[in-house]
Amino acid sequence: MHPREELWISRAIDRCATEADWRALTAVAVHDRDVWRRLCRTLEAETLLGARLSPLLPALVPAASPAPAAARRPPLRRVGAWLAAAAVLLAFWCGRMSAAPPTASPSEPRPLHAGSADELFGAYVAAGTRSGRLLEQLPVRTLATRQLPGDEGLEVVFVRSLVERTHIDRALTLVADEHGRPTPSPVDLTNYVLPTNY
Amino acid sequence: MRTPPDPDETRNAQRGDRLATGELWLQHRRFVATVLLAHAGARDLDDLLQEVALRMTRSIGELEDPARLRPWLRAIARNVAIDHARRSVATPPLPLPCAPGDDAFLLEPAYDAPSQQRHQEELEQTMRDLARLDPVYREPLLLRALDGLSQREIAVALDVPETTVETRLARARRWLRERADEEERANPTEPDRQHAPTRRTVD
Repeated sequence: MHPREELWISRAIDRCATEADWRALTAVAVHDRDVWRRLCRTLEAETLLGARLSPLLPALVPAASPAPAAARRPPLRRVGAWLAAAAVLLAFWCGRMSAAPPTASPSEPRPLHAGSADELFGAYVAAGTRSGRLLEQLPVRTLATRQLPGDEGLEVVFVRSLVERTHIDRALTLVADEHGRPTPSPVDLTNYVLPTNY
Repeated sequence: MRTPPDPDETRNAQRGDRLATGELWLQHRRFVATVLLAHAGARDLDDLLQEVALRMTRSIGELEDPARLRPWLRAIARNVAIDHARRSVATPPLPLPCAPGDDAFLLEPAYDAPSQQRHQEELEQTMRDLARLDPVYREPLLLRALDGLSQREIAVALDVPETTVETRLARARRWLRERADEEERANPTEPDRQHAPTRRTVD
C-alpha cells in the first residue's frame, strides 16, 4: 500500500481531494485495484459509525432560528419561553406575543378544523416552525408499551417534547390577596432573572 | 448544513442575553455531546451535557475571544468528562441509554423489539471498539462523522494545525476500516443477511 494512500482516501471522503490526489489514487489503482474497495469500505464504515451513534446525540440545528427582526429587543426584556418552562415563579403569561402568528395560506389546512390530534399537532409544528416559535422537537420517549389482544397491534404511551420560545411584554404571577384568594400580580421583567436549570 | 459559530451571538450571550445563550447552546450542544462521547463514552451523556450547559451559562462572560467559542466549549466538555471519569472510578458500569427494557428509550418509527435489540448490541459493540482507539484519533473522527465539522473547524476546535487533523483523521479512518473488515470476517453472513433477496422455497 502506498504510504500516502490513507491521506488521499481521507481527502476523497471529505470531498477535498485535489486533481493531483485523484491522479495519484488512480495511478496506485493500476497496480492495486483493491484501493477502490478500501475507499468504499472506509466511507461505508464511517457512515455506519455515524448512523449507529447519532441516536445518542441531540439533533443538529441546521440554521439559526428565524427570529423576527422586530423581536430583537434589549436583553433584559427578551425572555425565551423555552427557558421559562423551567421557571416556577411565572404562573401564566400574558401580553402581546412578538412572534408573528402563523399566517396560513388558503391552501393549507386550518388547524381548528383539522380532524385528528395528529393533524392538529402537525399543523402546530408547521406553524411554529414557520414563525420561529418552535425551535426543535426532541426525540419521542416511550413510557410503556402493551400488546393489544388479537390483531390490534401495540399500544404505546409516550412523551413528546417541544422546545419553543416566545417574547413577552409583561408577565403575571399569582399572589394571595388580603382574603387569601389567588390574584394576578405583575412581575418586573427588567429585574427578573430566570433560573438556568434547563 | 450546519451554521458556523456567530461571534455576535456569543457577545450577546456575554452581555447577559439569555435568548442568545439559549441559541448558542442549541447550536453547539451536538458538538459538545460529540466531545463528551469521545472522552467519556455514552454513559451519563445527558447528565454531562446538562453540566456543560450549566458551566457555559455561568461562565460565558469569561470567554475572552467570542470567535473561539468552540475551543472554549471543548475545554469545558473535556473537564466535565475528566471530572466524571474520576467520580466513576469505583462505580460499576451502567447500561447505555436506549436499552430495551429501560423505563424510557427512544422510539423508532416502526417499533420492532428484535431490531431494537440488534441496534443496541451494535451500539454497545461500537462503543467498546471506539474505547480502544486513542482519543487523539477518536475525537476528530467523531467530530467529523457525527457533528459534520470540516477539517478546518476541527483544527480550530482542537487548537491544532489543520494538517495534524488531516493526518489523525486518515489514521482513524484506516483503523475504522480495518475494524469493519475484522467484523465482517468474524460475522461473514451478516451483510448477506441484510441485503440478500428473500429466497422462496417451493414445496
